[in-house]
Amino acid sequence: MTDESTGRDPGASAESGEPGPEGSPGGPSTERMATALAEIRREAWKAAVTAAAVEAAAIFLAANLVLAAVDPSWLPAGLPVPPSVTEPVGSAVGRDFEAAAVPGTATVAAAVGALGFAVAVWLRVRHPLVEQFEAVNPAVAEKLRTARDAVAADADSRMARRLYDEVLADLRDSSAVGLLNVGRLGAVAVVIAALSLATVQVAVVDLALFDRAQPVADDAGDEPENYTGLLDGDRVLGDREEVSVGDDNRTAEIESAGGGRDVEEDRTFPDREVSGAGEGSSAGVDSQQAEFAAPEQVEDADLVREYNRRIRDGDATDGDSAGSAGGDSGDDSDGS
Amino acid sequence: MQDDTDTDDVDALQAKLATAREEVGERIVGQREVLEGLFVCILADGNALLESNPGLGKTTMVRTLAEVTDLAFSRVQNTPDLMPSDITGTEIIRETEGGREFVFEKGPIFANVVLADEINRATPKTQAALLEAMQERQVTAGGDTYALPDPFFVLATQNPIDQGGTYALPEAQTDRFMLKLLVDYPEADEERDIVDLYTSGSQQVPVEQVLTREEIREAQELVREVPIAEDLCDRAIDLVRRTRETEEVEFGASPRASMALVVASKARAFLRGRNHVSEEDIEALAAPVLRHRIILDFRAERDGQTPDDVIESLLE
Repeated sequence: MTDESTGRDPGASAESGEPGPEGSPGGPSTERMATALAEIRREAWKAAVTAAAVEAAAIFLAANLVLAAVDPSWLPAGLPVPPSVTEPVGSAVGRDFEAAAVPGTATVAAAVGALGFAVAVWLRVRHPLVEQFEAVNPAVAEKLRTARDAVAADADSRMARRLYDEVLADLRDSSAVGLLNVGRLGAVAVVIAALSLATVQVAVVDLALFDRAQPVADDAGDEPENYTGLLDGDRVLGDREEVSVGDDNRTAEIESAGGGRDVEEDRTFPDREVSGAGEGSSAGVDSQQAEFAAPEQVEDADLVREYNRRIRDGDATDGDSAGSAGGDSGDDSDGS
Repeated sequence: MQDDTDTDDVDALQAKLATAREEVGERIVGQREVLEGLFVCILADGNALLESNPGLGKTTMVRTLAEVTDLAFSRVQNTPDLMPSDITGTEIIRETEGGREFVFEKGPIFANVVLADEINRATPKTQAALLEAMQERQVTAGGDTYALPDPFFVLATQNPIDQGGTYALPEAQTDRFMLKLLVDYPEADEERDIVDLYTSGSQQVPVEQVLTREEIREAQELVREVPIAEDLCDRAIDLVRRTRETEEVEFGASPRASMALVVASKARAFLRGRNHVSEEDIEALAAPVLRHRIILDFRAERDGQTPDDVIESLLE
């Protein structure tokens, strides 16, 4: 019997005379047969574990997908990893994993998958393993069953020895692959692939099946107070909106030091008059309404279109103002 | 090394058995199942009851079987006036120099293969003497016990017709036959071959002696060693037990039938060159082992059922 995973066959191992786990007090033939039977049981275990592992992976992915979609309120977002685990790992790799947490959905899904694995293995091994092998190898089933009973009865007669030799020879041509339901495994593999894709999709689009409450962003809670690095522009400035530049005229009063005189008159900004002819050290101030640019995304067609429009408008404006405001520039430069 | 020697011996013995079957087949056309049943009986150390209409070659079959072996053969033609001593032997007075003395003169039962033709024509007393000897493998006469030769087989025949003046074997007696074999009419082409074989050339087709009695005894030992799976053994026992429980059967088979079914299955497996008993062996031998050991209920008989029909339904 050849096993795909190990390439070994019980007949061959029995022929080698290795002592089997089920040592028999009978003669060498009985021992060889007992070894072959032990090998068959091992191969059946391997097949059961292999099939159960594949099915457990599908169960894990399905559970993970369902939990991600439903997002039950009782399930914490992350489960902290005990310090007894993080500390040794952190010290080993030279990093601090103190705040490390395992996603709650993945943890529960892994538990469900492990349970599924245990159940799948139990379902496969609850029937006698050698009988399962006999069922998928009908050519050798009857004689193997007889040999099994003969070994159990410690039979070592001439006919029993002949039977053992015959069974061992037949086992070389038999296979444990039949214990794996290839069609079922293929179907489960397809399900795994589909579940994997669905899991990725849910993670990207943040699918919410039941209009669950969106998590409230708590900046103070999310980030350490002493954080001084870069911040997300959207979070600081709020939602992006269109703002027209300089359309609203506001009256502002600015105190300026230097120049030796108080500013008493109201000034209007932008004040081309003043800005065009500055006096002394009192510099002209142009005010503009605050504006920020959202992160550029080249794939944002609306944004690209808006840029193009503005560039075209800007060119047209520059062309118009180039002729009319050319003297201002010269005055400006003169003044400075 | 020992295993190889054993294997060679067993292979040689099985080859000889196959040759013996071929030799018998030279003289007996068709009837393969009956011939196989006879060989099974020999290997299982049992006795067979052959039932058929006259003229189907029962006697020739048994005689040929004895000829391909070196077994001693004798024939007893049963009639109503046959006495037990005519079969077992009797003490006679013999004149010697020292005077007269009783000497046991062995009867025809002292042979390896005894053909008891038309056994149902003998009186119950004679039948009982024959069957007792068959069972005990010994004969007691004049206070002395004489062992029958080993191996020893009784192959008895009876006709299902012309029942006038016959004494049907009691159930207790038929239980001592391991198999009851039904010899049926040959097929058309087989009958043509029989006619061609026996109406041209020599009247008797020669056969070669293939097996010795030692080899037969060794084969009988090997048959007992043939492994049988526990579930098959249970199936055989369960089948026999069900003959006692089913409504169609008034009297079921005894545990002797269970033993007979298992050992006959082993013999068939050995005869076919197998090292283990197959389910096919049990199914094939269920009817020959059980058909003469059960008595049908009158309702089953009224419905036209035969013992073979009931056994077949029990096998399903």
